[in-house]
Amino acid sequence: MDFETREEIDGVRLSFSCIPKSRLQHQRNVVPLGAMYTPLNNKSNIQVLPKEEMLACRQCRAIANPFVTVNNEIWTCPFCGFTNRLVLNQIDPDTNNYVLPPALHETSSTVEYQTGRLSSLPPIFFYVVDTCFVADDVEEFQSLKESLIISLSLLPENALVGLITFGKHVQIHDLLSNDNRAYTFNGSKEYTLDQLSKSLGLLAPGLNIHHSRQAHGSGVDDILGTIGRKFLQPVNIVEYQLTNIIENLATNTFPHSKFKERPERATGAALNTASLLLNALLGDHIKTTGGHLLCFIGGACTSGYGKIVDNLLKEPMRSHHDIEKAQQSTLPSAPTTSTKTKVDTSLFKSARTFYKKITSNLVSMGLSCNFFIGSYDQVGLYEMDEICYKTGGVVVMSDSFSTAIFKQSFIKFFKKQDEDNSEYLDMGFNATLEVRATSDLKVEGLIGNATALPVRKDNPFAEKTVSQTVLGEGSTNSWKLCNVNPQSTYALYFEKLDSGFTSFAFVQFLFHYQHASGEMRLRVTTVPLSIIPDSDIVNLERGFDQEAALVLLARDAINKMQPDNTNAKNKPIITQLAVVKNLDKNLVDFCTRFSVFTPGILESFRLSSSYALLPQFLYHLRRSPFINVFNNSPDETSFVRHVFMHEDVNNSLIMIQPTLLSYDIDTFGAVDETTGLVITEPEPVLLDSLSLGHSKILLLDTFFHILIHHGKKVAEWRKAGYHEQPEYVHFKEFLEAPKKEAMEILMDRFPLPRFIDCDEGGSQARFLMAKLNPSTSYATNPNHLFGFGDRFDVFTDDTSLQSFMEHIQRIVTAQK
Amino acid sequence: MASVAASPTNSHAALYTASYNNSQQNQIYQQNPFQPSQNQNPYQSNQNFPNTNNHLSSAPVPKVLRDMNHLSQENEDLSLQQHRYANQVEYTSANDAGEFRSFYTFQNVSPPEATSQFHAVDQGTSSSKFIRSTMYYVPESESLRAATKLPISVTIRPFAPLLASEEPVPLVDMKRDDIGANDDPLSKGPIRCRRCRTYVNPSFQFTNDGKFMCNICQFPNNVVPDDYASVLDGQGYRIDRLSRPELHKGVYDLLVPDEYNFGGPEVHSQPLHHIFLIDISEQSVKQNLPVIIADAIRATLYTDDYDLDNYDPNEPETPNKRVKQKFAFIAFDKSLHFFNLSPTLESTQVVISSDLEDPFVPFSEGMFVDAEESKNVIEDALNQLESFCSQETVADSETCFLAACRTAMLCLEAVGGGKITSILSTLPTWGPGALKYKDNKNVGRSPAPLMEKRLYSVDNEYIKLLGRDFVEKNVGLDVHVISPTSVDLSNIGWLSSITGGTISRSSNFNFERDGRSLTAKIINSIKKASGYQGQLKLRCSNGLQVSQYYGTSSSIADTSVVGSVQDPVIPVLNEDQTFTILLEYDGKLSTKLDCHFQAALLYTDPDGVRKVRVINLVVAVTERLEDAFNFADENAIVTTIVRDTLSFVGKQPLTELRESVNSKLVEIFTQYRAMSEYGHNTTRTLTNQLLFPDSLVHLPIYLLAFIKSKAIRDSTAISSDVRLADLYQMLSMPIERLMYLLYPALIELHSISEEEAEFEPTNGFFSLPKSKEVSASHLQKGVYILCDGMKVYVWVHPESNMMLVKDLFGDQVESVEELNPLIDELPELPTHISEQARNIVKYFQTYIVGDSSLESAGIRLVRPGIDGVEHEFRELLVEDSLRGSMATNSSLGYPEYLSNLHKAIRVKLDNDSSSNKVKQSVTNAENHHDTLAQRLIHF
Repeated sequence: MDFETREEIDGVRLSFSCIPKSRLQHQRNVVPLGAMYTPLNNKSNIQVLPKEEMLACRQCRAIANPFVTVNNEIWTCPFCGFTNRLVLNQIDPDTNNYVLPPALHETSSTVEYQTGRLSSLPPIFFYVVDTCFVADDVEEFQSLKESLIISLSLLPENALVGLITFGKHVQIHDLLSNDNRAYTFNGSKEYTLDQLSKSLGLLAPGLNIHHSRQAHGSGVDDILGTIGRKFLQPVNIVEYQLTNIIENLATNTFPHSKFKERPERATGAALNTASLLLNALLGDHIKTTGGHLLCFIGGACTSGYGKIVDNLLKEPMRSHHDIEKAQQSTLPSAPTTSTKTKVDTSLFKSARTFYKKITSNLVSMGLSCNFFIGSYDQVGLYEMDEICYKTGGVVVMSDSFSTAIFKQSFIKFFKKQDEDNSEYLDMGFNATLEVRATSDLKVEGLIGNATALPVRKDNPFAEKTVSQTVLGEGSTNSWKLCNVNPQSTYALYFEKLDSGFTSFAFVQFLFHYQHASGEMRLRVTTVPLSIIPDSDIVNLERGFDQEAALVLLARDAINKMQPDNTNAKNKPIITQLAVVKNLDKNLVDFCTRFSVFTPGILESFRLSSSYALLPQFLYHLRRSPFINVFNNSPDETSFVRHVFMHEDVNNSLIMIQPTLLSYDIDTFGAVDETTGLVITEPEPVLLDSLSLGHSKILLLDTFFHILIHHGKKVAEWRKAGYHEQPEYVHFKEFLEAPKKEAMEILMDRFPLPRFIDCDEGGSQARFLMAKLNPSTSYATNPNHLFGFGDRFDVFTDDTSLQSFMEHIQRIVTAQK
Repeated sequence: MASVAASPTNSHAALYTASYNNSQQNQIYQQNPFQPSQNQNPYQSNQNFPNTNNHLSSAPVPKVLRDMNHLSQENEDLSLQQHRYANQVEYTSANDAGEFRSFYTFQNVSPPEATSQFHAVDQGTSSSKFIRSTMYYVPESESLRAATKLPISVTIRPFAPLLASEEPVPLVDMKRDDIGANDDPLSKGPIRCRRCRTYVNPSFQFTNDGKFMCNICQFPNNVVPDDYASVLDGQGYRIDRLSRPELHKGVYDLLVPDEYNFGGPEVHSQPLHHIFLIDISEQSVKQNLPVIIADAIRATLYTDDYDLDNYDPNEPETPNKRVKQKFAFIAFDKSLHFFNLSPTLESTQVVISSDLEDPFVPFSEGMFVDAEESKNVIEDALNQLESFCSQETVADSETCFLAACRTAMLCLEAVGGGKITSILSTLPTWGPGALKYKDNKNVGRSPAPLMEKRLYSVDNEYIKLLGRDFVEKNVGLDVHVISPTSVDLSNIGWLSSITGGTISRSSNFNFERDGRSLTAKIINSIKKASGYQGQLKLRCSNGLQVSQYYGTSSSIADTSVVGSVQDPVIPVLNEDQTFTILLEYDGKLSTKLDCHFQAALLYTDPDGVRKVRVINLVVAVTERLEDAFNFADENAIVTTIVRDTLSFVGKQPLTELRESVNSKLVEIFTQYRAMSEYGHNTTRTLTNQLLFPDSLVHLPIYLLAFIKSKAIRDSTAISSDVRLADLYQMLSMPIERLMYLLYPALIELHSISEEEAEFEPTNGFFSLPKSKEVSASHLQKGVYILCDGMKVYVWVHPESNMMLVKDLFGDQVESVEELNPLIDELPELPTHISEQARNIVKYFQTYIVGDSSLESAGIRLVRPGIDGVEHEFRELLVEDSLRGSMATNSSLGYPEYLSNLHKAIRVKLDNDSSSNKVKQSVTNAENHHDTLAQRLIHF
């Protein structure tokens, strides 16, 4: 089974599908053993089986799968070796043999079971809306309101909705009153759960009287209680009121000098209030449902807890540089004579701590927090990112709420499932992922948008699968995934121990989630890994997935750079430089391990095709915005990293090494000599400055940007208006072809990428130039000062891929 | 000057006038500060005034009461009602030529009785409408003053309403913006004395060399700025003085530059911001208050040409640029309900906050709005307010009024302060600063002094801090209490009082009967607001200094807000505010000069224009005791004594206060008697006669009424809230209202003549019929209208003539018992008597009570033996002794009181030691210029 097929069926990609038997031999392989798991993978149809078909090992509770050995009504659990009885009662009339339960069918490596349990509450969609829009942005606010109202119609009918708006202060809107009432809370104060429920008149959790009433009806109203109902209601009941409230929302800005101050915005308090409110409302039913906090943020948090910058404009927003400096300096800084206002570095530390608390509250409720940002400047995502990282929320970053990026991404957020006009949202709520592995594999951790759960103490076999080494969210074999959509992909890292006399090791993913229908489901994916002799290099190579390997390496590297992962455990700070150095070292080790070369002879260096792409990927990874934060704001870095942590292998690859398609006027529309077909398809070209051309249109896809770059000649023609003349229909088609292609990409991408249409030499072309491998930079062209020739120089000091590789080869071959 | 004498019908007066002319008139003229020879008044020389000789010559003489045994209210000389009537008639009745007498502020010395309507002509010193002094001949030294035992004080009403026929207060642009920024900041804005900072006024003496001398401090070297220089005419006056109001008027407003803004030149002055703070707790909803408030707000904002009232067409702004007052609503129960009134909204948004510990302003835009722009949204908000009354949900029973006040203050802080108009229906017991009932263990007994101190003084720390913040941030609070139980006015009333707010209290509220009066009160709170961010400063001639302010923040002791003699800051100003300022000697006044007062009130008017209202008063200085007595002003003296006494409530027991009022009266009369016996009328001393200073004839009845007033009456049946509500109102109400409050007007309907009780069409004067003495013995079986300055009562005897009753209440009425006890107005009937009665009520409501929007409504029907309010009515008959539980021993009838007074004087004079002291003080005052030899003769 090749990697793509497995990914389609099981949603799993492994870095090595064949692993050496011994632990030591495996360690020599440099690349970590890991799996990229996409639980809600929708690339193939998954069987849904009723609860009765689920067979669990009586000892370790692992689920029976096609890989178990069945012998005389007995199946042996591969994870613990326990033998379980298999009740066979159906007889195939044709063969007169007992029919194996569907779970054991060959095709059932991934199956989904209905557990028969329903969530007691429909999913929650809680809106947290910024109302700090100053005079000029009123249109933007209007547009935001429209989007919000549209979104109400996209929700499932029974979804619970609630609304909090904030400016300098936080307002919780009462949905049942026709008077448009709201309860307000001080934006500069941190409320406790107790204070909040008291001031709203909610009973403290534990004192809820409805607890007893649950027996004869656990309807929404019963669970929420009379007062709680004001704030959380099924959308089909309150759609009218909510629409009214949203339409009538007033901005909450306090007078401030436009040239001296930022508006006061208490984002932190709003998030805190929202999480506390839901906590108070759900009370005992805290774990009963999943849902989303939808936060719409129009600017930096400047007031109250979680503020990232003072509201005086003279104080600049923190940059990567400030953050790095603050982390390093332990000595009091020397007095400075500079008159420049310094960034208050204490702010982001305290802000991160504050948001951490909110995160843990949300995670405990199984709610995810999504950020929709409409701001030209930073809003403090860097401080808040933990909330969306750990709860699996999405982040959409746009310049304004009136942009298509926001509007369409937001609508796409409520995408329905593809199959037969399904009413169900294409997402899973409040999920947990548990990983089981055979005894020679241990789980080191997970890197992705999830939070570690404590190890289950009631199952000794769960504990056994946990490795001592911790990577990412580790020390456990189960994680909370508050929000999962079909793209959500998690990187799992395994430690390989010495294997016994088995030919396979197994990993089982138990993905328990709330289906959009409210049903609780369990999806089980079992993946076999072949154990090969230590000396078997052929199979090792065959089982090596360099793309998955790259993504696993990348996630690990990026994860190391997350601020909390370094600070919390008092580890030495891992700087960008250290990470890059580590990547380089890995690459050298990798090349040393897998390349073929004669020591001392540079030209003799060879890598087989299964390994050959990795160095190039790593080169681009080093230059990518995930590692290289230069020229990015902390918010942008947070954003791109967050998206990276969410996407599957293919999309991750695009992010690391953008794809470049080329349309050439000279070949476009020509008839292919061999097939006789008209060539309208673009030609994928190298991400290299050599691919530029005056007569070409280039289509760059970096995942975040879609860029169409017109060569000089093409642009001139277009400006001359040739495409409008009937005799140049061909040229018109040529111009439109890349746009069609771009639209197709735009269609199913979330969040919507930024679309850039530019001409050669134009200012926007910089997005393309920055991505290209500078094989022709001015550094390599001695004549650049004279404008020599028809070259496309990239103005950069970066090394090109060629010289990078040459260097690596030199190091590798120089070794003895 | 005793105006009794001015009445031509008074034979005594005529007699006295003749004798007085011979002996004293010349001297008076010599003392008259307004003689041309003194070059003080520019008008004397070039203006022809009507001959007022008759008036001036009616100088006072001692009044002698022949027989103590026949003392009665009928005595014309002693009748206050007669005095008021006579004084009133003098100004409001036209002479044969159809002309009305005017009061000329320089020529006519003593002002008319405070209760009179009169037309004043401002001649460079202010009329008594704006400032009233206790003495119009100020003693030159403390010892002379001490011999009179009379206080020297002025009572200022900066925004006194004027008659339509009177010239409005002129506005002078003194911004003088063209002065370069580099100049001395002290030279910016109005012309002022460099030493004492007196504002330019008609008494500045300009010289030809571009300097001027200050009339207050006599500093001669002030330099006139070039842009203000003018040539002097032959008599030494600036030739431009008639074109400049500040050089020939007693009262004027000065526009001042930004340097005078509150908070400095960078802060832009805002129009006045109002917050309605509305109680929506259970008690309030029960009484339907939200409905009334909503109505009142509608009436305030949308009926009549309210906005046009404020609009001064002379202002340089174009109408569309005009800034307006803004309004906000906050309702409160246990939490605060803010209404977002932004005009961009379709309907209002209610924002509820229950965080009372850290109050905050939930939103900014839409908090304060223009009434016109947000009309629809406001209407929606008011509807919601009304719907609180119809909601099925149970309203909170407690309120967080004080936290609401603090929040309102935070809202107003951002706009430079403003006014809170609040409705309170119950003791605020929720949230920070919650109040407790002050348990009074002395129910049924007179409380012990310690208990009194606790009952009547502020003891809540939250309120003390709030008070300080209010004053600092220029937030004023009007409280309308509608509660049958105590709301602890000792705290809340204090808060309102120091911020320039008004307090009204209604304990027995009935929606049908009292709704309209409450509406009128709320309308008044808004419409009568005449400015905010006020700072009052009184400057006076060398020799005097300010000793005490009453009725403002700086008069309330035990506040660390500001010291007791610091110039008061008055957060909000209204038309009815009066401030009494007590003066003391720090030297000697010069008899060669006059005594000048200048009250300057720096304030921001409701449209956000920063102004100074300057009120100048010039009075003469005398070295003669008689002058001091004869030109004393009864109204001002009563006001001062009342306010001085009230300022000790909470510090001294009420018994002591009452005693001190009595002894004050005895002292004054003793001094007068001593003076009369010694100086001039030794022959006329008769021990069985009570000598009244002519100008102070009614002092005993006023002070008797004061002792019987609810504020300090010796009674165990009056709750502390009732006392304090009256007390705080008495501290700041206009003098005429205070006079009526002490001694009500009582009109007998069945005896008024055809021509009376009509409004004069030309100038609005009202021919008020002569009142009856307020005594039960004067009540016949008929209909009476009584006004005590706060309320208007209609007293209907059950056995009244049914013709009269039908004419007043309608033909359908068959007996007095049938009348609806809840009516609050006399029906409009075509009968003449009905019109007259309604006119009388309207006059009282408009001019005395000050609720002009009530027209002729808002009355209380009193039927003896039928209505419970009779009890209340009885208490107002101050000449009678009060019976039963209403009061105890100190509530004597008037005749007894006078005879007690007489006895006390006699005892005091007969007692050797005290008599000597008195005599000596009088002698000293009279003769301290004399040589030792001369003085020895007297002994």
